[in-house]
Amino acid sequence: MKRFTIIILVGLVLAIIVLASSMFVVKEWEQVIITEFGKPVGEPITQAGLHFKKPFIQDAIYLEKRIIPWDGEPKEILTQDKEPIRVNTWARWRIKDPLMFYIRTKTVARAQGVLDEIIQSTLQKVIKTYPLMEVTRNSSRSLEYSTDELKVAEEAKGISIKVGRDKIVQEILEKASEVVVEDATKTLIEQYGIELVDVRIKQINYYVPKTIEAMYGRMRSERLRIRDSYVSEGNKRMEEIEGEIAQEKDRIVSEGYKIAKEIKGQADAGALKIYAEAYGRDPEFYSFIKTLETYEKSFNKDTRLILSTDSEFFKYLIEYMPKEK
Amino acid sequence: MSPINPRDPWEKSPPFDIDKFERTIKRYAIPFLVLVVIIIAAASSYYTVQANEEALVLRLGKYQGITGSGLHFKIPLVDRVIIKPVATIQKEEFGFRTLESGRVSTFDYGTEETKEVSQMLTADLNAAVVNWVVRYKIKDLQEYLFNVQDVEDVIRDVSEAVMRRIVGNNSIDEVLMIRTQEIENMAQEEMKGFLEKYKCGIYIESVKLKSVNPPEEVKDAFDAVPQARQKRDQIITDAEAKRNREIIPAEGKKTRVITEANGYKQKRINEAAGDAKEFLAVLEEYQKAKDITRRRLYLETMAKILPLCGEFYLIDKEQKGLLPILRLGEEKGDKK
Repeated sequence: MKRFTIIILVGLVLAIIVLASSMFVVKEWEQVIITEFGKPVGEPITQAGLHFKKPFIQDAIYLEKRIIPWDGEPKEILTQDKEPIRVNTWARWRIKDPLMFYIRTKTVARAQGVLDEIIQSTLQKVIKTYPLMEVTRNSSRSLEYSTDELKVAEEAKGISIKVGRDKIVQEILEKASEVVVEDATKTLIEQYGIELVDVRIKQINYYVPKTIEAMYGRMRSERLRIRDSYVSEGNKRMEEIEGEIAQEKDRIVSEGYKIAKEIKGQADAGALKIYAEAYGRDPEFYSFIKTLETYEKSFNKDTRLILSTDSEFFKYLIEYMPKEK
Repeated sequence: MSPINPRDPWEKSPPFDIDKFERTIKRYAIPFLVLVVIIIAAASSYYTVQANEEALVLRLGKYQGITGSGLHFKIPLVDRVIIKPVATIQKEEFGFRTLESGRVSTFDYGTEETKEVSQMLTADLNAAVVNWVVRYKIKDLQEYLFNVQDVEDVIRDVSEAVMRRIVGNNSIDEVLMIRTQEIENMAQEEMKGFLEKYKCGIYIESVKLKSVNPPEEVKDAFDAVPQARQKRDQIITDAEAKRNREIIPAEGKKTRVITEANGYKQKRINEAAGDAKEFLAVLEEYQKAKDITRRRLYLETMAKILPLCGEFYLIDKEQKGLLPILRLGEEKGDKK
């Protein structure tokens, strides 16, 4: 009885082991290659769920189905116009052909190594055929500035972008997706089972201290020039205004005097007219009155008056009756 | 098994009874194991999802469905549940790290890492230091888990590439001040495009520039510009104010001079009119009686002036020399 139970138990355990070795679970983000004695057989399994294989003889090799990141070491490159820049790229790739990947590349770590070489060298090859401006900018759009002076200075450089950053990045992706093997050009998928989804520039920077200093120097002198122009503009305007003020003041005051003089002239003329009209009615009588007034006004204690005896005033001193004239 | 000797309780305790132990184990082992298995199974047959989370269920690796908040059951071993915060807005910071968040947050801008991220080349080959924040949330748990390895890394890489690309297309002035809003919008749009291409199930809520500055080394020169502009404006405003201060009194003076002249005119005309009137009155009288009036006026005047004279000489009309005189000045009164 006991021996029978043991046989059942052992049989059960063996069955479980065999079953376990013939089942495997593929998760939604995995893909699997079945290998038999190390050689791949059949189609890659990309459907998630429970799958079966021959126990023990066959192995289920799991591969990543998702998009995988690749990060590049910063690379120092000289552009076509001899600008030394340090470029940092990243890429995203996936295992597009699991079979080929297993045969040629085997592991993600190896794939990263392959990509390191390919992407970095493509990067260098492409970028050194373009001036820095093309790698930085996308269009020849005219740039705006806070002062007209800067805008004009920039436009004077006459920069026109023929290719632009986006196209260059595209070029890098396209060239990196191809590899030359024994005089034949093959795609990355064909050769390694890898599909490059994207290669992008993460950072472009100057790294040579002298170049950086030169850039800072340029930025600084540009701004200080604007500052100086503001200061001189202010002073110029101030002087103009002061000149205008002085001129204006003179004009106003002299106008005033001119008008005043005219008025006074009118006044005098008007007065004279009145006098002439009045005195003109009997000019002789007027001169008589006026003379009398003058005597009154001009005689004082210093005056020495000498009259003759036939003065009208004294006629009654001589005699009391008027002479018959 | 050696029994305790009932007759001698002081005998030494018998050694450990292996047989009894074996029997106990055999009796309770299997039920005990079964109990343990049941407990483990029970414990791994349910899971809770918080209000801001979602759970994705894989049954034997295959996508089964997504469950929301609450308590749910799953088949132990067979089901695998991945829970992620779906409604929470998460953020990625570029160029700085938040050290302490609160009403007044503190940030760290200084590390080598952050400096590398922030400094970028502009279209006119100047350098700008840009710090920004991306806020996002998981919008599709399936895409998020199945399509891309390390989604947060993708968000960072894409954001850096996008921001640099945009900055590389704008002048330093546009980046620093003129187009900051547009740059934020463009960055959000472009990131959205990328992430949709990769199908990573992420929704970008916002891209906000935290600060945009020229590099430390040239900051003083950049600051000098708005200062100088302000100074220029100040100088011009002051000069214009001076203009008002000086012109108005000048106008006042002009008005005063004219008013004075008018006053003079008035006075002159009035005087003349008065004098004329006076004369005409006398004239009228005179014309009525010419001889008498003349005589009167003459004598009146003489009466006034002779007393005023200091010395008075009366000379005979035929006399050729000077007569001794009567000092009329000492007598008063008229003689008619």
